[in-house]
Amino acid sequence: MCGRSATARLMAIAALCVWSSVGPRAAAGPSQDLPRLTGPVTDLAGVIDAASAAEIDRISGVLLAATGDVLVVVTVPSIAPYGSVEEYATRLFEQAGIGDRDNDNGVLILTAVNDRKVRIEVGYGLEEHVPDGAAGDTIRTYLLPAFREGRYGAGLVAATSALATRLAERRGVTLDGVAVPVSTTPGQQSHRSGSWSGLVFVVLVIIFVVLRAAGRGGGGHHTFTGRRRRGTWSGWHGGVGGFGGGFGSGGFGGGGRFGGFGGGMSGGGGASGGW
Amino acid sequence: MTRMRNTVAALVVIVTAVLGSGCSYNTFTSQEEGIKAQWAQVENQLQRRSDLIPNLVETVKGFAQQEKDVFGAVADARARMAGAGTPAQKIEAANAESSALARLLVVMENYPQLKSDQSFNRLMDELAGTENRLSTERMRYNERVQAYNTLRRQFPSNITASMFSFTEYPYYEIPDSAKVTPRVNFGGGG
Repeated sequence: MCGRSATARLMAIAALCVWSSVGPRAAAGPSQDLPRLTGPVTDLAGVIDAASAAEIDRISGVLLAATGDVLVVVTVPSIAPYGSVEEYATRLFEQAGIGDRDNDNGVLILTAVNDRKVRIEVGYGLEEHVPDGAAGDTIRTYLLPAFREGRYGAGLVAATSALATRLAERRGVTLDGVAVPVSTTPGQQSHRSGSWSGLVFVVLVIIFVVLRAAGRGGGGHHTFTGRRRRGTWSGWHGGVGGFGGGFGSGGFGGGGRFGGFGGGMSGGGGASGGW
Repeated sequence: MTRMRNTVAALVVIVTAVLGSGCSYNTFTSQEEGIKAQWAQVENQLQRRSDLIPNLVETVKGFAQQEKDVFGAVADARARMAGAGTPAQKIEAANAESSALARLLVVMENYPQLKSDQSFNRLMDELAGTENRLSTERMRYNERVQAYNTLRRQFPSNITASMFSFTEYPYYEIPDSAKVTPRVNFGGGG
């Protein structure tokens, strides 16, 4: 009798032990209803026009090739069942693993169209390059004004270029065919994107100096301040726009797989806005 | 004879239980390390918030000098936070700091002119971001504590836990009064 019950008990304990080492793991991680991301643009709300989606795709590819940073745009109809756009963004970021595992160098722009909320979630590794204030400025300058008019594609392209340019600048590289966007609110751009317009101004001055040195002469300085404020240079980079897709093994031109999901994580850094 | 067989059986059971839960000894140690690492992340964010407070108070003071009570409460809470030692003390002090900040945020609502101030907007982004980081790290901390505390109470790993005195870790819970929800983007409606 004793032997039999001891065997039974041993069996029970062995089973418990196995269960206790497997059980808790199986119960972890409530990541229900999050979309699967496969590329730079995941437009589940269906609000981004094809041209804008292609442009975001291209800019994100140029950035990935140049700096290794990963910029991803996602739109969803609603953040349900999550309680806030912040929580949704952090969970989605972690689940998709935006950026490298070692560098956590991803940025997620998440738009919840029916909730009228947008969030820029910044990976751990990029928090120093995109502080919360800069993420907030990007939202206020480029996203909200466009979103209020229902121009989701235009706003997201502008925000993507702004963030990509900022990251490249911080890392000391230049991006081919990615222009600093003008504000989507006409007339208030010069304050908000101060450092960028400053940079472009410097470029203009250099070009001016070069032109003068080339012997054409003439022309007063005052013309440049005038030009800077008007912001009519959006066509400037048009000529080199075609380069982007061809770079880098990690790029996604021509149907290649997007290499931006390498297990990166965020810790809730970034900013949110509503419109 | 039967008695002896009984004793042997009991011994076998105990030894097997301990050996069997030997797998959980390593689980405990690695989970404990995970909790400590995650707690460090929580502390980083608490520190970050404390660092942000003087700047925030200065900015708001520029618009609302008369709100001395609130500024005093925030300063006291920040000092208490700096003096806290153990995780339990820090959680308590952090909740007090959160309550004080929540009051400050309510006061700010009365000064709409703040909302058009660009540096104030950035500061609010930083505060909102810090609160959000804190809640993210806190959530991850609590998840790890939950896994650990659960294992600690389950059979047979509870035997390992009591033998090697793996003690329970506190959850980081926040009372409703300490919930800070900075309104970012005042101008936007939303």
